[in-house]
Amino acid sequence: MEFKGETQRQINSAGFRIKNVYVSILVIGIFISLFSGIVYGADLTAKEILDQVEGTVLFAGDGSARIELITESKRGQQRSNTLQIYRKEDEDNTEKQLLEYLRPADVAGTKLLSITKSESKDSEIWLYMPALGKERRIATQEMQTKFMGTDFTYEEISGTAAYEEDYESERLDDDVVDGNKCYVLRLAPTGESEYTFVKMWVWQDEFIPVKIEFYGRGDKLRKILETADWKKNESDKWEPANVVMSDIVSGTKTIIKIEETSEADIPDDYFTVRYLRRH
Amino acid sequence: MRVGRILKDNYVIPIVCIVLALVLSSAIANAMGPGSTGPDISGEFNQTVNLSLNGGGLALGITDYRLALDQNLRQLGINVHGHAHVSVKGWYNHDVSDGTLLELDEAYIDIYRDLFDLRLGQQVVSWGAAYGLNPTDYINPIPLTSVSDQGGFMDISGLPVPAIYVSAYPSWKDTSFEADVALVLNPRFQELPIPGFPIPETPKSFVDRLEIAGRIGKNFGMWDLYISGFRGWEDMPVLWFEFGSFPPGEDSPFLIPKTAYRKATSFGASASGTSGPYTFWGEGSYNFPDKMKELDIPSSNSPISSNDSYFQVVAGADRMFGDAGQYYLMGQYIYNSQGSLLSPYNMPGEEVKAGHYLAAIARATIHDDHEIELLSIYGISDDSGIVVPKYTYKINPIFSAWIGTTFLVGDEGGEFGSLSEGKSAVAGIKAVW
Repeated sequence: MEFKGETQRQINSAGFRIKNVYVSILVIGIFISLFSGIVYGADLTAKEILDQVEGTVLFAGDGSARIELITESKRGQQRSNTLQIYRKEDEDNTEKQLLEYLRPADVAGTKLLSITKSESKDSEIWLYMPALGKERRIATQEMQTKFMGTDFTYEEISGTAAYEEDYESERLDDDVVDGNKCYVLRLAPTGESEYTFVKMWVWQDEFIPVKIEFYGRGDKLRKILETADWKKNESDKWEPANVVMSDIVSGTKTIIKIEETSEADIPDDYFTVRYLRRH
Repeated sequence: MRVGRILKDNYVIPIVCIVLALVLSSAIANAMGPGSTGPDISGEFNQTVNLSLNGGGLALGITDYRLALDQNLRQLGINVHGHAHVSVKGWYNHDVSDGTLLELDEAYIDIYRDLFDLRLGQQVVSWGAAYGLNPTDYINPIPLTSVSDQGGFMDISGLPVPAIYVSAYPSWKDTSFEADVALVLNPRFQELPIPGFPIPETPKSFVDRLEIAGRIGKNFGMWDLYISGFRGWEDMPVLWFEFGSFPPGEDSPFLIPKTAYRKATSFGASASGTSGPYTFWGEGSYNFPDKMKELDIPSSNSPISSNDSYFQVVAGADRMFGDAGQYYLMGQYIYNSQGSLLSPYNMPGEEVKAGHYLAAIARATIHDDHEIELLSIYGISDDSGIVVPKYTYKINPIFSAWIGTTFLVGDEGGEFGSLSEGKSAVAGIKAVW
């Protein structure tokens, strides 16, 4: 009789990490595929600023990235995973993603393939574990609703795209972040949300959201999303080298260090179960 | 003195292997010139300690290690899309002074072509969707003796066999499917778990030893379905008693224990899929052993094994909970028409009762450092089972430490009685690099 306890643990552990990885993908989505067309104007309204930011936040098309994902506990203990991420969007809007753990050794070689068809609510996800030598399906619903990693919801990470529709925006006094002039927007949800409002700092020169604060009940600050070390990549697009998400309530942090990005076309066969099984 | 001898006997070879692998890797990388990368080296080392809860103190348990080299073929200058893998392993049980200090684990070459992927060499072929017990995992035998080690629920994997494994992924219009064929060149026959029986002969001819397995898979929306078949040797030998002559003055004849390996044909299917937050799976196989006249009833023999066909079915589901998936629950039902999961044998004349089992796992992971796990399996048929609690602390990305034990539920004379640790616990440390 065989009962792979260690493998089971790995599945669970990988599941825990999967959610972290999803956060990273979304964050990369926000910050890699950035807008290069710029409209200057001191009299821009909050909505006009959001118009510029919107459309820059979705990670569309093909791309790959290597990132270091660090989770930090309340006590400051850090765990680090290095991941290679591939992504592709088909003409029919089917989103394909492949993640491969590169480090540490206990999860190296673990791969996660997800395919989300445009008409489908749920993603198809396969997890490949090298110790087991085969893949298995993973349920996704909870990941989609709760949002996947650490302490963040989908809205916090990717909600920027819907801010114009789902939030009432107000422009506050401009501010400076890391020496860069920023528009500051106050965004209040019009519908149901766990936040009472969100503050977003948008780099004036590039219309890039460089910092987001999330406020909860009693208008208390709950989470902060910060970016640092912005530079232009090979495609002349801005990207941050570091992204830090801090949960003020729980005291935990998720730190993402973007080591390498590429917009080179990814072959279709990367997003297959067959590829998962290959070394 | 004792520690020194233990080190000499059990740690020297693994350490030498690790050093040699590092030197070899470095040498290959240097020989390949600047910009090239040598093989990736990975491995793990485990050491367990048995803790007596009755004041009996500590004793070394099992030492084991595994070392692997992986190399992309193109990086070796070979113009083939592929990969090479070699791994060795060893283990030593200090309690019974038995072990294997160095043996080949897997050694194969992968070649990736447009139409197919080929794996050639000593390998493990993993089939099936269920957890732990896979009725359609025909190819690599699971050593029954290892089940009793450390509570029986450690990471037990099949024994690698020399084989040719081909996977093809044809597609036609919008339909694609998967076809896999494995040809086993030299199957591994399992040792007899019952003392007093002669060691059975293994087939001599190369052709006679061959095994073949195949499967076809297709994706249906959120579900994957595989249908498979196998023709080859059963892992365990069949047993029977042959009646000898009557000893002088006795009313009953001599019973002569006999053994033999036999072939079987199997058919199976497995499916896995998701619905909402749940993953479901089901897997089963029906097995037709070749009839042996020695096992026929009535006969002049007293058979322990049977000529009857048998089947296994496993079905289960799992899901993760919590914001970060830190809680995990799994439940699985197992049916085995042969009776016990741990032994395919029944006493002569004993009625074979199908085995029904329930298995469950509950696990909580706290910030990826601390893990508490409760694993259990319960035999409905004989009202016995075991519960295996385990705590693991991940010290850093390389080292983790754990402690656990096995509690018996129900009758000590039941199927799982031999797996209970009794008044002891097992602790261990693991290094992965």
